[in-house]
Amino acid sequence: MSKLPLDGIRIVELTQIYAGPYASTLLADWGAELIRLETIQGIVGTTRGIYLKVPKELIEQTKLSGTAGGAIFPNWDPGQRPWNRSVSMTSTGRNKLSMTLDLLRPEGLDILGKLFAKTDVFIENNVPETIEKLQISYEWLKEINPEIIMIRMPAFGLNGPYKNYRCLGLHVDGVSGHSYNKGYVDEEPSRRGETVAADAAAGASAAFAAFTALWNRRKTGKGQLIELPLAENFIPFMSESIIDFNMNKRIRSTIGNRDRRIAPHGVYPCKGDDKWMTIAVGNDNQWKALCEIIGNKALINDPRFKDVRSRLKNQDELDNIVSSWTVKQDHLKVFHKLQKVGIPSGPVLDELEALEDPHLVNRGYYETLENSELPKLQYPGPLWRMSKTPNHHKSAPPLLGEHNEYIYKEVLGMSNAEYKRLEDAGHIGMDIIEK
Amino acid sequence: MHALSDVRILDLTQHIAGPYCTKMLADYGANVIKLERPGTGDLSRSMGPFPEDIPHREKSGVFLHLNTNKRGITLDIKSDTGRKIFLDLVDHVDVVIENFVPSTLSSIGLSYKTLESINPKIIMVSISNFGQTGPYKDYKASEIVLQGMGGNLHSLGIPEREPTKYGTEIALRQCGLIAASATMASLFTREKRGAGEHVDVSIFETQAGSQDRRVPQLMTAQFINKVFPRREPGSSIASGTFPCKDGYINISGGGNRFPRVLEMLERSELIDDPKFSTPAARTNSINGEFFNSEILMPWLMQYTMKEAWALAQKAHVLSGPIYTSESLMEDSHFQDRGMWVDIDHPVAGKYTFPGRPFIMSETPWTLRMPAPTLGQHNNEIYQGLLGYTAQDIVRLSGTNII
Repeated sequence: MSKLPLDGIRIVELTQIYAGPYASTLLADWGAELIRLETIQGIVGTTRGIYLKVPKELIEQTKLSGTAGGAIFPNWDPGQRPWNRSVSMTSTGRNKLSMTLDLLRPEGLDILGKLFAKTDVFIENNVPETIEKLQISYEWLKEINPEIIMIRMPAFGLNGPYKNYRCLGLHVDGVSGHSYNKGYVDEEPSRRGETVAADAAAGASAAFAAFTALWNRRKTGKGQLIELPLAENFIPFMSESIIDFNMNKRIRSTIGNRDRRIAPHGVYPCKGDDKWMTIAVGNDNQWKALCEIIGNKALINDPRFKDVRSRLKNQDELDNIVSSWTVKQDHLKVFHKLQKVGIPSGPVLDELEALEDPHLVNRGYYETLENSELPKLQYPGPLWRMSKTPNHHKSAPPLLGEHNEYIYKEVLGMSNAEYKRLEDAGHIGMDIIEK
Repeated sequence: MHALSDVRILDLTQHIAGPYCTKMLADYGANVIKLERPGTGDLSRSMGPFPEDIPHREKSGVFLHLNTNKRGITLDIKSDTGRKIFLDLVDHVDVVIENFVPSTLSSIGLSYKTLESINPKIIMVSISNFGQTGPYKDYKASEIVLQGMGGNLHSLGIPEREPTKYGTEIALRQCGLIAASATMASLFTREKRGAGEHVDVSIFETQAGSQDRRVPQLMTAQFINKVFPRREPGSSIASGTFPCKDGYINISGGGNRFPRVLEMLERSELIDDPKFSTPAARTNSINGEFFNSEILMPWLMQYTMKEAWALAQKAHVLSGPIYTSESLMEDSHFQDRGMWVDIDHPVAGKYTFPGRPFIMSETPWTLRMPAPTLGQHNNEIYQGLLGYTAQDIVRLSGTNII
């Protein structure tokens, strides 16, 4: 069997929700042994859900309102151990191992130190003061293991006035200027809808940072500290708007679904309830082709739309014309017709449609995984393909503490008696202790 | 010393996704040769923004940002001579990265097989809209199309209106980051195997597997066999974007985070109010709307967004202001941390750009050179690296090959 790029690399993570766990998902997908540090001393963070016992009324209320709020489980059933059935763990847990220990006690920290001696990369995305309180630092890691790479992913940095500010990815979108540049032109910012693009950008960058530091280590034998603040990593995504300000003192705001350079460009209604398609006509030839498909050749010579400048000027009329045609079309079918004549377009796929997309299915993108507490589910496959390194997922998200035995006994070399003692002491287990 | 200083890359990409990938590699030290079409060059040279809005191929803000630390050459790889020169270059690099429509390179005799026959260690990373195989492989796309198919466009916006896309090229830029990891992955497999391979990165797939809520929503949909409609803003308790004195702030204070919001408001006694006392009561949208409009918003209106943000943070309420480019540039946190860099470009002049996305303690991000002017390093590469003579260069430029 061909070797995956990160075979033999051990990564330990103390991460929450999306940015950190996404980074390590990408690394676990490509062969790293990925150990999640977790605890049975209560639900910490929200990666494994919010509630130890999920109130029945909350589930009923969620069915009605559709707000996530930690109450969504397979078939609306939290099961005996809801922490093994949460949305976010299911989203980011594939190919990972789970170990439990209580880091709030010196003994837990000792165990962590022993693990760090055998670790290549440690990833965390907590508020910096949380890590400081746990007495985990790069200095300490380096002392144990000079080859270790530590990746820290705070929201705003390890220093500066916002160091310990608490936020989610969507707040980083706000600070970076993304939220202001997103959504309906004719609604105030409070009604433009939230986005959370900063998390995924941070996860993707952190995976690259890990690869890069590992590459460097192979030359120097040395590890290093990587500081990846979500904000500073995401701000470059907004470069066009930022540079326009720096060059021209122009403050950009949202342009909705339109484009500054081409038209028609947008999200257009299709037949059915909440069905939509996108169309992005890039040049005059594509415009002519669209007029022919719409069955209105008179539009080709219409001076309001004859070139891109005219089309940009008359976008309201243009969008009305396009919409009055798309609204009669099936969003899953009509884009093929447009693509045949070279017009960039596609359906706006909801999640159930995305799972059945013929192209993704044809490429074998989704992979089905299950464990003893999660039903068969389709997971996105590895995010890229390598011609000589075929790759498929190895395991479903881990149950809490599922790999304690392997990690404590095989990796750390502990005896059965020591394992039993740590079990009794509340470090090792698969059930969260109710307090 | 840079982390990737021993990696040589021939970069055929243009627009956003490919250049973002090679920028990451170049900014952390890779030796990147950017190959552009003679005459027009990279598409993004025409994209702007431009100083004073005057289009100029050496002054596009997006191009200048995405192409730092790369050396630039021009070459018409579709001509016979250009093809030969290209294959010469392939022998001098570790990785070729391209984002042509699939089959473009093989149609001009430059498939991975050909490259591999010249240099068995060569890696080729192909970035495309839909991937190198499958029914949509030749389909055209743009950012909005990819967000619609792969991303979570369907869930963005408000219920009674059309979904609204992200405010920047999220799909393309995210894919660039993933492709940078894919490139690194192939360097590691090459070490193990002693041979290169062809890497297929599909923007559609990088979006369909992205954590900016596409995957959580894929899981949710499978859990309950249903897709939730877009949510009405302002109906979830203490959650959303709310006006304050001089702008807007976003707060996420629902669920079990709600008591922190009461602490921020100095109204902790409200936790005993039956409208707010249980998680289920707080999930009720009538209670949520009441709290937001009658209690939270009047409080927020007393403060500027930075004041409100500081007070929220004091109570550990997850929050952030809605900045414009101006408020972001003015924020001293980012200035003092040194995240901005001034880039002095020989033609465009000096402007401030975002600097490092992350800090490596041993092998830092540095700005070694600004984005190249079109063909700026032709002499250096063709004479210095490939050993052509000055006369060769004159001949090749005369026939528009370089």
